[in-house]
Formats: sequence, structure tokens, C-alpha cells
Amino acid sequence: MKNSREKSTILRLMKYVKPHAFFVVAAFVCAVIAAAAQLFAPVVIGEAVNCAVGVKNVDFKTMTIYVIILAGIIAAVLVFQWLMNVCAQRAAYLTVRDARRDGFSAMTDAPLKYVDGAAHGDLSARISVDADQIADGVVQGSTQIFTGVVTIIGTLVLMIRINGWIALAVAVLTPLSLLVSYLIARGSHKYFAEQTKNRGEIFQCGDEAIKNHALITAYGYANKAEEDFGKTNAALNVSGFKATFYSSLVNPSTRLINSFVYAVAAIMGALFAIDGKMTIGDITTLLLFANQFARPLNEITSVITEFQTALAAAKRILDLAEVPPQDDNGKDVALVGNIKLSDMSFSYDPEKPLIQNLDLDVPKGTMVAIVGRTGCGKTTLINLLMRFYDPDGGTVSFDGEDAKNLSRSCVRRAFGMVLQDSWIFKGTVRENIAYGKPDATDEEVIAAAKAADIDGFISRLPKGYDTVIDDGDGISQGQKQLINIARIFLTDPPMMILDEATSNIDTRTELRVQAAFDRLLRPENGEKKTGFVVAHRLSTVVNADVILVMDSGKIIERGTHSELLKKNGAYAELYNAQFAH
Amino acid sequence: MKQMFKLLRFIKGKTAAAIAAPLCKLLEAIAELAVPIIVANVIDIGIARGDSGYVIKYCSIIAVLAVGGFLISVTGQYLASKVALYFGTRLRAETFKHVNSLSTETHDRIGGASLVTRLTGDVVGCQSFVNMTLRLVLRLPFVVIGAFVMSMIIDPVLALMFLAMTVVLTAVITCVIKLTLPRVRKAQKNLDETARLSSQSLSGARVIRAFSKQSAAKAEFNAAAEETAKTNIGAARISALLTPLTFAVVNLAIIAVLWFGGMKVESGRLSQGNLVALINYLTQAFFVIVNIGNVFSVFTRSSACAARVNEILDAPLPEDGELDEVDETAAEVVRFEGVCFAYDGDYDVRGVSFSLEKDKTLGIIGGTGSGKTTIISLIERFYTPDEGEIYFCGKPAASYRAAAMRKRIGFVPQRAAVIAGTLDKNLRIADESVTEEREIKALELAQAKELLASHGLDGRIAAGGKNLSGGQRQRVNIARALCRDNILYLFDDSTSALDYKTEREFIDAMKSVSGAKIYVSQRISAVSGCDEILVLDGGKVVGRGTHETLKATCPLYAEFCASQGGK
Repeated sequence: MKNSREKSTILRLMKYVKPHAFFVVAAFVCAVIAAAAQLFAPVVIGEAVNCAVGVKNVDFKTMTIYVIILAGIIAAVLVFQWLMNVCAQRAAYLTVRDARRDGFSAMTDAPLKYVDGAAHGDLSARISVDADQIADGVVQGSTQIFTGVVTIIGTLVLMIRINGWIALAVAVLTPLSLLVSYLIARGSHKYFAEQTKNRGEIFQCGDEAIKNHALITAYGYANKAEEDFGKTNAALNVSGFKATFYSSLVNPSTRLINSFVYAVAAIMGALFAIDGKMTIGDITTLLLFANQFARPLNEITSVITEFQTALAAAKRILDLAEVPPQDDNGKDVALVGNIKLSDMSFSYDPEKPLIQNLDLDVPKGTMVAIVGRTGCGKTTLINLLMRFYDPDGGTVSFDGEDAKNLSRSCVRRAFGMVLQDSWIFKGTVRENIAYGKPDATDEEVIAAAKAADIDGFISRLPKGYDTVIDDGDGISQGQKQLINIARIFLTDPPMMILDEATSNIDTRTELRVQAAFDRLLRPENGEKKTGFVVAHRLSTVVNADVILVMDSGKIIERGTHSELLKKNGAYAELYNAQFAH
Repeated sequence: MKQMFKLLRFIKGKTAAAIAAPLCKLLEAIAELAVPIIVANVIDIGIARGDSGYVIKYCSIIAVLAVGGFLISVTGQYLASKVALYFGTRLRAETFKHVNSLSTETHDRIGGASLVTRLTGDVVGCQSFVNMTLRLVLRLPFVVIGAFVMSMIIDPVLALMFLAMTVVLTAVITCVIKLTLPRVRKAQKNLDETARLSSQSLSGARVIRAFSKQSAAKAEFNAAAEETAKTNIGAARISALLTPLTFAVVNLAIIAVLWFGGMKVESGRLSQGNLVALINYLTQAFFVIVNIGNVFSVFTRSSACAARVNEILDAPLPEDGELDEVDETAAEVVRFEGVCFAYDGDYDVRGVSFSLEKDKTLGIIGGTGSGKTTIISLIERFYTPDEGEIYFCGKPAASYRAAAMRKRIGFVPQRAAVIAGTLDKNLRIADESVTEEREIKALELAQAKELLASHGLDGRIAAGGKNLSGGQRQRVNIARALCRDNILYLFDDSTSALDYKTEREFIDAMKSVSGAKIYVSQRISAVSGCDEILVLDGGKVVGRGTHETLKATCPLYAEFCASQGGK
């Protein structure tokens, strides 16, 4: 089960590796050459030692040849190992780049349903950190494993050539270290799990105290908090010690086994030498090999674990890259702003129907206000109008054309939208305002800012319109909303949406945002726009042409402010709850 | 590195173990270093004389040394783990203690998220430095120096070759790492940029789609991805030199030993076995020196961690007064005299003066950023005014011990603070010995009867109060302040999540509680009933009086009234 999943991830990953196959193959070829050259070094050294038997018994002529060969080996390793690394890393990072691009592209084209349903931090992590793991773990890991295997096989072959029995002993005994490290890892696993749990608790405890610093200071709660923290800290001390100590046994244990193998090889070698079946040079070579044999073997185990973690990470970015994009087919026409919803139904979760059989006719130039409690379907309606989501039943039509026949981008372009969470990207104020019309002139940008009543604020910024702004710092929620409105002044679409845009800002700034939006909807010299206002504070909706009161996805009342107040129903109740004081 | 040494004081108490652990490593290294010389004897004596008994005896010594080395090493690991964990646990406890007593200014400057990272990740980073140093780092010089000494014993002249190799190898490795490091840092920055672009595109998912700007977003990201790949490949080109270069250096040293050693063998000043032993020492040292890269990264990483932890430990504690007694009978509870305060640069509160008498109520209203919360924070002494003076019960606030003064103030913060545990635990923060009746009464005053009914005093409250609504969290905070008798209550926008009716009922209920009260809000409804109201704008008091007078005299106040329904 697990294996087949890993296999399919590898296959999917191959698609991304393929374009860079040249570098992968080159890396493998270089790896074989470098590993072979490295392997011959001990053989040559051994032969050279054989040239220096004793007093007046040193064959400098032959030794010179071996020294030259060794120099050649050094040169070969230098060149090919470097090339191998460079090729492997190149292939790795180009693969990462491609997977990352596809991941980002899929995220950008995915239906909003996917984006809304996913944790944003998680998606960003897939694109940045997880994608990087492909390079570290998968591509480099596979060259390391490949080199390791070549080295092990090569060492074995060369050892057998020198002495089959010693080779057999080394080959049988060395893997014992793998077994030992496996057993230690398995045994210490529960301590690691415990340590992770305790670290999580410490994090929780510290996070809580830090977030509530004001409370702790004001109520002198520090001693009690430290007492609680101390308990968790003591538990972490115990589990941390166990995890650290048990896992630290791996190194001495493998060293013990390796030394043991070394001793066995030395005894056997010496005894064979006494029988005249081996030279001193052979023993030197064998002992060097015995040391060398253990290394790739020990490395491969850690590389394999890393490889598996990396595959899991690779799966996450590949899953994202394969999210099917939302279609954008259909006619692309200029809309004027007549909207009709007929018998429309929609739900996020089939078990919980939300909007049912909704009918609504909004002729061009009408301002519609939508009110109701949280979760009544106000924002959902906006999502359906913008074609962020598609209705399950019934139709949405624009200017008499079923929205299904229109491209999504054509519908969205026809709307100007201001949401509760205004969006500012990192860039200059100018770039932010000209977002929908990048070729706008400076005059146009300034005019839009003036219309949105934000020009004054911008000119006070250190670099005016060229100040780089970012989501968060130095710019208030209300100012962000006004920049968002300025964006819309520049594109001037026929329909507008204001979705809870003022619920996070204070009432005075709200008036400015409201006024700017009104100028958008009812330009002084121009046609009235079709507009939708979703509001929590009712003061913003009293001037609407029609107010819809929604409850559980249904329109339960519709009419103007005064009509609805007279009716003394749900709207009147909401209104009085806010203003009776 | 200095930063790390400063923290080593936390090892005190386990000093003996901290010395014994590396000693174990030294002994283990000696055991390891004996091996080549034994092999040399096996070759020169055992094999040369054809004495198989000698061979078996000496090779068994190798095995015995291995077992001894193993036992010593395990002891070393045990001691190292003990010391490291002892160090980490103490450091963490001390850091936590400091975090709690930090001034709010330092707290704000470092930032909550960073404080949490320092307390958790960075402390672990320092702990693993101690662990790694005792276990691995000190082993490095032991083996290298040991191998050098052994070479010296065998042949002082050829040992110079060894010395040369060590120096060149260390230089090469350090160079490569130094050249790679800035490139790796740049790659890390690029990686952060891709993460930033992703999260930016996610938060702007609707706007990007609304303006059909998907391809622009992709183009920007593709450029960043390309840059990341380029930087990484560039860094790889240099770091890829590391292994082949070390291989080259070691084998060049071996060539030199073979050649000059060969000459010595020829003239009878060196045996063949000793030649083999020299080569073995070279490779032994080599395998250890290659790890210098790891040592290096442990050092850089941990000194960065240590610097961040030290910043907390070294942060000055807020200044404190000495007075413990608060005069409860003072007619005037709070007085501000021309108080100015700036977080950084711009004044957030300027020239604010007002006074609040015993058992009276004061309302403070203003838009976001008008300085309302700053005034509350100044009364709580989270910050010290830059200019002017604040008095509490007739004496300068600064003259009191902050804890003694805060004990008499019922503070309800703007961001409702709830800790994980039970409702009871949350209320008890105000007074450890509060009775159950008092808790219930406080909850009733805070209009939290339904919460008491649904949760009970022992009801679980999740971390951050996630299982409560915003309004419920606010009411828990109010009830907490009411669990003890206070001279002054500070309600910082504490009713913003309540509906108007409940807010009214709460304010009415508060009339039965003795003590002066300050209500801070953006809502007229929360302050209109106060004895006096301050209207703030841009940190300045722009209006002062009762609801009726302000409506007539303060345009800003009138504007607030108008935008909130006119009444």
C-alpha cells in the first residue's frame, strides 16, 4: 500500500525530472567514474606500500608509477565528483523550479472552492518548503544512493579479488551496524514521540503566556504561570534526555561493530600473510576498504529515510500542481449590468442546503442591500454573482445571457469589488491602484486616488505614490479599503459589490469609505451603476433602492428602508436592536 | 560565539559531568588511535616472524579496545545528554521567567511570535549546541591532535606532512563554507520570497480573480522561482568542490608520506608497518576533519539562537517604585497631567490631562488610533509617559511598586485574554482565594449567566478560548476583574462584541459596584451614561464633558452620534 503510493509519486515526479534528464544521466555517469576512481586509490596505495618492503628494498621505479597513477586518480575524482554534484544539483533545482511553478499556477487557476477549503499556510508551505525537499531528498538522495551502491559493489568486488574469505567476513559482519541502528531507532521512537508531545505542550504554554502578557502583568499571575510551565518543562527534561541519550547510542554502536570488523579483517589478513597468501600492501588495501565499506552503508540508511520524507513532501506539491483549473470558457462580451437570478440553489455541503430557489431581478442601475445574521448566505450570494462558485441549480444571467455561456473573466471584469479583507500586495501605491489597469497614466492614478479620498494620505507618505506598501505595516484598514476603491475607480466597471467592507474600521473612517463607494455607484456625471452592498451595520444600507433581508439562504423580506420599517418584521427588529439605546 | 559562552553559566551544577563527558571522548579517541600502531606491530613483528599467536593476541587487543571504547563512549553520551538537558531545561525556565517580567515595550519590540520561537526553538538550538559540543565537537581536536601525536612518535619528520595536511584541509573547508554561506543565505531569502508571493496570492485570491490578473501573478512568481533556482545552482557550484577537494588534499598527503616514507624505509629509518600506520592515521584524521562543516554550521546556528535568547535575558527589567500601600480613601483615583507618550517617533498621546474621582465614571471615545488604549496602558504602567505625570490615589504612579498598584485595578483588556483550563481557573487569576459565590456574582454582573449555565465553573475552556464566542470571552474578562475589590476598573473596549441591549444591562449592573470606572469605546452607547467623557482624536483631547454638552459643543462627538444612529 505504502510502497505503491511511493512508486506512483516517483512516477509523477519523473514528469518533472524528464526535461532535465541530460543532467541526471550525466550525474550518474560522473558518479560511476568518480566512485571507481576513489575505489582504486586504496589499491594503488597498497601496491605502493608493497614497493617499500624494507632496508635497501624499496622499488622507487614502480613506486613512481603508482604515485603518478594516484595523482591521476586524484585529478579524476576532483573533476568528476565536482561535475556529478553540479549536474545533480542543477537537475534538482530545475526540477524544483518547475514543480513550484506548476504548483503556484494550479493554485492561481484553482476554483475558489479549493482555495477556501485549504489552509493557506499549508499551501504556501507546499510551494516553498516542500518543493525544496525534492532537491534535497529526492534528486540528491538518489545520486547519493546510486554512488553508495556503486561504492559498495565496487569495494566488494575489489576485496574479493584480494581475498574472498576476508571479503565475505566484511560483507557479512558490516551490515550488523545497520541492524543495530535500526533497533536503536525503533527503541527510541517512543521517547521521540513523547519529546515531540512535550515540546508541543511547552510551545502551547509559552505561547499562551506571551499572548496574554498584559493579563499576566496586570494580575501578577507570573508566578503561577511559571509553576505550570515548570511542570511541563520537567516532563520535557525527562523525555528529552531519554530521546537524546538513546539516539546517541547509534554512533558508538556502529563504531564498535566497525572496529570489530576491522579487527577480524586484520587477524585474517595477517594470518593469510603469514601463510604467504597475501602481501602487506594487500592488508593495507583491505583495511582501508574495511573502513570504507561501512560508510556508504551507514549513509544509505539515513539517505533512505530522508528520501522517504522528501517523497511525502514531493507528493504534497505534486498534489497541488495537479489540482484541475477552473474553466474560463464562454463568450467574452461587455456587460451593462442587468442581473437576474432564477430559481437558484447552492450549498457548500450537500448535507446542509444553503441557498434555495432564490429569485431576484436587478435591473441596471439598482442599488441592492443585503442584510441578515452571520451565515445567512449574504456573502455566498456575492460568490455566486462573481462566478467564484457555480450554482447547483437554477441560473444566474447577465443582460439576459445565462452566466454559464459567459467566460468567468468577462463576468468578473464587469464587477468592482470591495471586500471585508482588503488586499494590498507588496508594491508601490501606484502599482496597487493601477492593479486592474497597469497602463494607466499618472494623472489617471491620481484622479482615482482623489475620487477615493485617499490622495491626501498618499501625498503624506515618504515617497508619495512611489512608496512601497505591504499588507500590514503602517497603513490602516480604512486606508487599505480606500486604495481598493481607488483601484475600481480606475477600471470603472458597470457593477459594484461592497461586501462587509467597513466592518473592521471605525465609524468615522467608515463614512469616508461609504462616501467614496457612493461616488462609485452614483457618479456625478454618468450613469448609475448596479450595486450590491452587504452590511452588518445597518446605517450603511438605508439609502438602497431595495433591501433584501436574508435568513438561512432565503430572502424573507424585500423592500425599501421605510417600507420595511413600516412592516415591523425581521428588518425592523434588526434595526431597532442596533439603534435603540 | 561569545553569545553562546555567556549562556554556559546555566551548566553550573553539572560542571563535573560537563568535564567528564569530553574526558570520556578523549579516552575513546585514545583507544581508537592505538589501533594503527597495533596493526603496525602485527605487520612488523607478527607477520615478519610468522608468529600467528602474536597476530591473534594483538588483534584481540583491538577488539578489546573497541569494547572498552564503546563503554566509555556510552558513558560520555550519557553524561553529555544529562548536561545538555539540564542546561536546556534551566535556560528555558529562566527565559520564560524573563519573558513574563519584560517591559511591554520590549515585548512589543521583539514581538509575540518571535518570543515564542526564542523560548522554544532557540532554546533547543542552544541545548543541542551543548550536546553536540560535548559529544562531537570536542572529539574532533582529540582525534586530530591524538593522531598527530601518534605520527610524531612514529616519525617526527613525516608527521609534519600530517600537520600540513590538517592545515590545508581546514583552510580549504573553511574557504568553501565561507564562500557558500552568503549564497545559501541568499537562496534562503529567495525561498522566503516564494513563500511570501504564495501567501500574498492566497490572501488576494478573490481580487486576483476579480481583475483576471492570474497570468501577471504567475509571471511574477515564475521570475522568483527562476531566481531561487539560479542562486541555488550557483551555491551548489562552489559547495560541490568540498568533497573532491578534501579527497585530493588527503591523497596528496598520502603520496608525500609514501614517497618520503619510502626513502626512509630504504635507508632503514622506518619500518613498513609504521608506514602503513602513518597512512592509517592520516585517513583517521581525515574522516574527522571532514565533519568540520557540521561543526561550523552548529556554531553559526547556535550562536544566532544564543544571541536571540540573550536579548531576552539581558533586556532591562522595567523600573519599579517602592510604595506598597495604596491610600484607598484618596478622593482622586487617577490624574493625568500633560501626559505625552510615543511608541516610536510620533506621539500617540499628547498633552492629555484629566482626573477621575472616587466612585465616578469616565468615558473615553475616539476612532481607531486615537490613543484610547494607550491611556489605559499608561494607567496600568505597561508604558512610562515620556512627558507629564500620572497620579494614582494621590501619589505619583511611578512611586508605587507596579504589582502592588496593579493589584488594586480591575483591568479588562481590549483583546479578551482567556487561558486554557476551566472557567474557574480563568476567574481565579484575579484572586487565588476567591469564593464560589463571588465568582457566580461576578459572572452575573458581567451578564455571563448563560455561560455559567452552559459551561459551569468547571467547564473546559480551550486554548485561546476557541470554544467561546467573542462576546463570551469579553464577559469572562469582565467577570475576572469583578472577582476582587478594586479601587479602579478599566474597561478597554470590553463590550464591543456584545449587542447593545446586553451592553446597556452590564453598564447598569456596574452601578452597584463601588470603585471608579473608565469605559473606553468607539460606541456612543458605551460611554453616554458616564459622569464625564473625553473625546480623543490623534492622541489629543478634543472634547470633554457630559453626553449632552458634548453633543452640542464637540463636532467630532456629534459626528460619532450621527454615524451611530443619531440618538
